Amino acid sequence: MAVDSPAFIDSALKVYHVEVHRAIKAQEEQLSQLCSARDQLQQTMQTLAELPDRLRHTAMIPLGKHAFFPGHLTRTNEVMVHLGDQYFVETTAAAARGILQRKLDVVSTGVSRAEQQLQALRARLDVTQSSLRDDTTDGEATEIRSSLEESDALLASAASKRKQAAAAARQRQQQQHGQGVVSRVRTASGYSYTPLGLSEGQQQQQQQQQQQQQDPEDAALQARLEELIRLEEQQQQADEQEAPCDQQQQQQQQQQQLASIQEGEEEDDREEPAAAADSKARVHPAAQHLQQLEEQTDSDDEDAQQHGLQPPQQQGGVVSQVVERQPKAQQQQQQQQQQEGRQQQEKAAAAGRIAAGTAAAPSRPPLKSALKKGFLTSPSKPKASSSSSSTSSSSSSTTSGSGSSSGPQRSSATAFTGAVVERPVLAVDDSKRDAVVPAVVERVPLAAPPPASTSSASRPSKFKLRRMGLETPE
Amino acid sequence: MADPQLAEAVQTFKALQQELQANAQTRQQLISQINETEMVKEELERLDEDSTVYKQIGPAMIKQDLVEAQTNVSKRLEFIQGEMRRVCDKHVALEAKAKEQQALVMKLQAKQQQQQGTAQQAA
Repeated sequence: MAVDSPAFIDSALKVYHVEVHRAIKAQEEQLSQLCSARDQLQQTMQTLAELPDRLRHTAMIPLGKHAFFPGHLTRTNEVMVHLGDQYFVETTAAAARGILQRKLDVVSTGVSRAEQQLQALRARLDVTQSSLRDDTTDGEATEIRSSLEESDALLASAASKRKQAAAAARQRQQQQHGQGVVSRVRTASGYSYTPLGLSEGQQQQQQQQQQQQQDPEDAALQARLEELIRLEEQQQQADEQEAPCDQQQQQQQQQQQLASIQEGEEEDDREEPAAAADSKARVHPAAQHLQQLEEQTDSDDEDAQQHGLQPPQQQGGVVSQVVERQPKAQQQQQQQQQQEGRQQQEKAAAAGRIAAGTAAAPSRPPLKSALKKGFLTSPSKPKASSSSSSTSSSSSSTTSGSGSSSGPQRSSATAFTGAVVERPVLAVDDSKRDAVVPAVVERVPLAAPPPASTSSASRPSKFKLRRMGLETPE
Repeated sequence: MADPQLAEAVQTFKALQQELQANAQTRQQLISQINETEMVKEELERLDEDSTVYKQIGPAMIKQDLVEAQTNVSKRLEFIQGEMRRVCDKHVALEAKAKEQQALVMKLQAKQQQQQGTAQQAA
């Protein structure tokens, strides 16, 4: 059985599915143990609080399993507390409460950690299930299976649409911001540069020519693209208004202002000479951003892949994983960066580093699990206009999980042509996102030790968990 | 011809895997013991000097000196930490061996597949 065949993948997925189920059960068991320990501790503490209130309590004292006799509890302040490891200490009720409180703290951290791990496992299960469902319902398994000619045709059409959208966007900008700008008009023979000292009539003629050259379908598509572009811009502004962090707001506002100032003046200067330096300039800030990210986060196996994905998440609302949007977005951001230099990036990185210290690490595992599957869920773009700002920002930053943590992480915009795999199948609806988003904190370095009552037999083996990408708490 | 070799390699690999798992289990146990002992040590240090400490030996509780209890617990903690270090080293060694074995298994598998391929072509 070839490794690539869909049957093999299917069976492997099923095995993984079963494994995840088992891990979830073990984790649930552990969580229930911890919860019961915590409840017992709380009850005991409550009793200890009431005990010294009276000199003697009358009570029914149990005698064996089935009998009681009436008796008194005297010396109500003297209690013997089990410290652990077969050591007991005689102390007052209040001191005993203190001891129990410390134990309770340890157990509580264990409970929260177990809950987080459980949620992560559940998210993993969701992902596995959905991928299994897709494999069985889709007739063509994955679109990668199409023939070479078909895929070539698809790529060509996508590229041409992208160019059209970019040209249309550029023309729109030029019309808005007026003279002295060179227009890069897409003609039948490719691109031609004409000075925009042309009268508006001529421009319109060119546009019309363009449109006539295209099919009516393409025109409709273009119109739709422009709509989407406008929607995204609105979203950006909405996101930026509602962004929680002040620094980011300032930065983004600055960027916006700069963008509006610069666009008219400098677009032409950027376009031609920067055409060659385009890729370099784009890569350089991205590379720097990557470096900063690498400094922030621990080294890991799949760092490169994840860093390729993280910058798009971390852009202040400018995350365009829409392939058609990239040229325009990159232009804008490129200009902003060249204006402001590295300073803002460093500032943002410093600000984001603190938040990213905790959030970046956790955002990796969901990515890792998604990458292992070989797909990313890009939210369908029209659906991106969802209700709450946090979810909208998380939707624009995409990929499973790591949405909420991207809020404080947004550093200054870095254009990045990351490996964007558009897989239209998995639309991340709100419910899934909510389930996935809080499950982020998988990899938080676990300072608190697991409580003593952990039975190793009930937990999945460390290696199984590592294979599944989970880190065992140690 | 490669079959018995391959089977043997797979067996050793499986054995190594199982050893690794057992090792992991002991490691977990040791971790929980370490945590518990650390907690006890901390609590003992918080106590007043005149507190009475009992140690449970079987069904009976024997009174112990606080200082004595503290030293005992510290020694126990050191002992467990040494065990833990030993287990970790063993784990590392086992992992390396398992990797080697896995590489060997894959090599043999590839060779076998090749042989099968040529046999099919010949037939």
